Amino acid sequence: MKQSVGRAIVGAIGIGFVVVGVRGILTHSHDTHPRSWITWVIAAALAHDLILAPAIAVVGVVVGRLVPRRARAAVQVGLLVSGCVLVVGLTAVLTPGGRHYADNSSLLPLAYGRNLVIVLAIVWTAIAIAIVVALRRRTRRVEAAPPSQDG
Amino acid sequence: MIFRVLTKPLPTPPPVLRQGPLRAGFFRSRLRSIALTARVGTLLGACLLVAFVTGLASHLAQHPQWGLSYPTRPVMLYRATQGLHVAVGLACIPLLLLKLWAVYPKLWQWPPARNLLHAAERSSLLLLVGSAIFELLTGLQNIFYWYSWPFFFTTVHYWTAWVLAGSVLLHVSIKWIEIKNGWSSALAESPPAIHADGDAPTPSAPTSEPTGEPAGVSRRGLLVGVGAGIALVAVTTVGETLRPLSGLDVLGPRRPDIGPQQLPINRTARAAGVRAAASDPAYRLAITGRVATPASFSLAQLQAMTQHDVRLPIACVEGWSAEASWTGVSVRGLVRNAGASQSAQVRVVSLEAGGRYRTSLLESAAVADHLTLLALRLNGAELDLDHGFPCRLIAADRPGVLQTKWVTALDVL
Repeated sequence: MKQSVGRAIVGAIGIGFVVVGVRGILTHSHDTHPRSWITWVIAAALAHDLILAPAIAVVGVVVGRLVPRRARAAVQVGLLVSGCVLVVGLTAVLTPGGRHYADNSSLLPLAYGRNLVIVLAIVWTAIAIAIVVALRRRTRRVEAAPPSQDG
Repeated sequence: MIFRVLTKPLPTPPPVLRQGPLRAGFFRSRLRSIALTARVGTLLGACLLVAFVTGLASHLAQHPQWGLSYPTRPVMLYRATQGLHVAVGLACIPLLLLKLWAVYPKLWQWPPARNLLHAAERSSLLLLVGSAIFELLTGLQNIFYWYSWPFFFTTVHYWTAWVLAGSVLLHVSIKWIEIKNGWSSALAESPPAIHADGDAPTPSAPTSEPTGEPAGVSRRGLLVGVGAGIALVAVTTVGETLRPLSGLDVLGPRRPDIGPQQLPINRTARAAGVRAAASDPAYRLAITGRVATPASFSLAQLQAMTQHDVRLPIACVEGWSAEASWTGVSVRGLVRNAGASQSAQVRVVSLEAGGRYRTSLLESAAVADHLTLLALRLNGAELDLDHGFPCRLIAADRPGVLQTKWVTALDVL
């Protein structure tokens, strides 16, 4: 009972915060363009649910079908790490900001495309090493084990 | 009575509509479980809380209200809270994607709504998910200067933060039992994973693959992979504010040592439209407003005054920061010599013709602070035009946009 009262209070505070936020969006319409705002919020959710998530699922299925069992976990970890890096790295590569503020050489000063490739190359080198080490260890284990224990 | 209406079962849609991902057993990953969902969700919630609190602090630094303003000590505080805000925000992106992945099958649950209350709860998720992605996406785009929207970033990011924080609290309140159950069940795989509500996946269909060897990454491996990705993003970006790691900053939008006089800038004199006015030999700094004797000084007169040296960071709302040595005239000395009161506030006015950051307010605590200068020199050399020549404001714990450049007047309030 006590707990459900606590939950109700937390929920009520939550609704209060949402009201504060939506009211702020509406009362600062000169800055916030409420119509564009709500379009972006809904489009963000739909873009994830209907495009990004299915795309990630397809990658998962393809990896499950194509990558040999013994290498699969390592490849999946590599893809997870790469995905995290790509979110930031692709934003750095694709942003028009550098062109837009071309007279400011301190803004986006790095060769992001090259750097992204290097970071991903390091990640996949590490993954490849992990796969080779795991396969070797396994082969050695299989060789070391007497045949009678193998079934 | 209302509750009874809200919980009255809705008719189930005709089964013929139950196709594709709506089918039972469509989602088969054995990695999904309430144990995973609860842990990732709690971590994401904690990170969002840190982002919310640090964001609120930055908002107060720019718009003091409710009698609250950002403290002026320690001098590294703003650079720390804002660096944390951006770093934690970046970490939230993979966590959010993982969290949404963990509950994705529930998007396709059947029937779509059991009753009106269930329908309302599911609709509220649109605001939760939408505002979460919106906050992280706009934040990410902002630090990379990618403005593909018509609204003004900081205003929208601030108010949407309230919508997101509220939606998260509401979500925690609704899902409290599931969260508790999730935490009390073990993370290690235990087939088959069953979600608290929604469909239980069909007991894993006999697979063609032999048992005894994992068919891919484990649940812990999943967390390790995402954790490693988050760490790698942090290591390759946080050097934009954490100087010892600046050599590893290969994906961050800034390097703390790249810019005019080895210090980044946000806006050039050309972009601000002040090149001519700032280089004009007739430049004067005016002390105006509520003072006994309004005054005005040429650059040579400012240079002839007692010069003070301070070491302070420039810290941008975008998360980068860099420390520098500044030399210049004390703001406190200037306004007190003109006869301003001890508790005076000062509006610092730039040569810029317009724009949101043409002026900035120094609260009385900042005016009285001996570290608050109108800087004439940076790292031992005359201030570059892009750093605000002839003189710029530099004070402790202020967002970079409020460190007004090309100062032409101190208006005492």
